[in-house]
Parts: sequence; structure tokens; C-alpha cells
Amino acid sequence: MMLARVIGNVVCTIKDPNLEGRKLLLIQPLNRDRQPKGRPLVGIDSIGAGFGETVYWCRGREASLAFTGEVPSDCSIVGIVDSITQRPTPVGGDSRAKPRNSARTISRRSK
Amino acid sequence: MILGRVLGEVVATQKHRSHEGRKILLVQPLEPDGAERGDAVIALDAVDAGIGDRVLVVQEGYSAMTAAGRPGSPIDMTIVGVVDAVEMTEN
Repeated sequence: MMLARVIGNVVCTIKDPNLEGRKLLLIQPLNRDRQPKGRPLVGIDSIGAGFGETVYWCRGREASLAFTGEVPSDCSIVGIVDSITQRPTPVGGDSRAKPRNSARTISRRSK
Repeated sequence: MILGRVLGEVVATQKHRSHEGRKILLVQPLEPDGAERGDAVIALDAVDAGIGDRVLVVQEGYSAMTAAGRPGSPIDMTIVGVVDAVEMTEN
């Protein structure tokens, strides 16, 4: 799975019958710092995600298992990220040297 | 499988039912020597790994969902081991 931000909706009138009633969302993959990385792609929503939300998505054949029936998907949105607890990145250092209790919580849920 | 380091724990209230009850971790893929490689990924945890641990991540769907104990689910990455050491020979 990978992080992404929902940046738009996609509307298709003519589509595979198994895609009917599914929400198609345009998502921008994100890196570990929640900055855009790579090209946007279209994913099928399985959990009610909306515009601006940080989500995580599943790729490949497993993506279609997020739905009942034979939904043709290779990118399904399977979770909405509320927050990520992460260690601060040390300046010019290796994060593995930091003690565990220096973790902090970064909340990036934008509405 | 790839090596990675656990960067953080993801909190997601709204998620696919099959992901409930499993830790969701942000993992940075690593080279064998510990250098970072590519972009961070999200993986379910099957071995109780924590932040800072070096881990073994399976990236194939069937293995990932089976290891997570959720066959037939949308899971493409699962942490299946905590790495103690990587030994390499000089060539």
C-alpha cells in the first residue's frame, strides 16, 4: 500500500458494469513527508474517502478484493489516514540512533 | 521480499474491514547496506514490529494477505519479520 491525497473525482458514464455505483477518485501519491511524488492516478474508493483527504491505497490484483464481485481495479483506496506517529528526522543523522520515546504525532488530515 | 525500516504508525479510523486489528506501519525500503531506496510504503504488521525496527516486507498479494491472516483481502504488503542482522560477503 502507499500514501496518497485525493485531488479530484472522475466521472465515467460508459464503463464496465462492475464499476457502476463505485466512486472513482483522482489521487496523487505522496512520499514519507506527505509531499506529492510521482504521477496522479485513478483509484476506486472502498471506504468513503473525499477530496483533500490523505488515504492509503492498494495496488495490483489484490485491489479488486476490496469489493464484492469482480470489480476491475488495480488501485483501490482502502483507508483514510487520520495521523501518522513518526520520529523526528535528525539533522544529518541516522534515525535509528534515536530513542523510542522521541516519537511525535503529526496529524495531516486536511478537510 | 525487501528490507525496510519502520518510520511510523498510521492511524486510520475509516479503513477496509480486513485491516482492522492489525498495525498499519509506514516503512522505508532499504538497500542491504542500510541506505534508503525509493519511496515509503504502507504495510500491515504480522510480527509486532515497532518504530525504528528493520523489517522484512513481503510485496506479493497472496503471501501478504495470508501472512496478515486475512485471505481474500486488499493487502499488498505485510511485514513478516524483524531483521536482527544482514551479513554480506565482500566481492
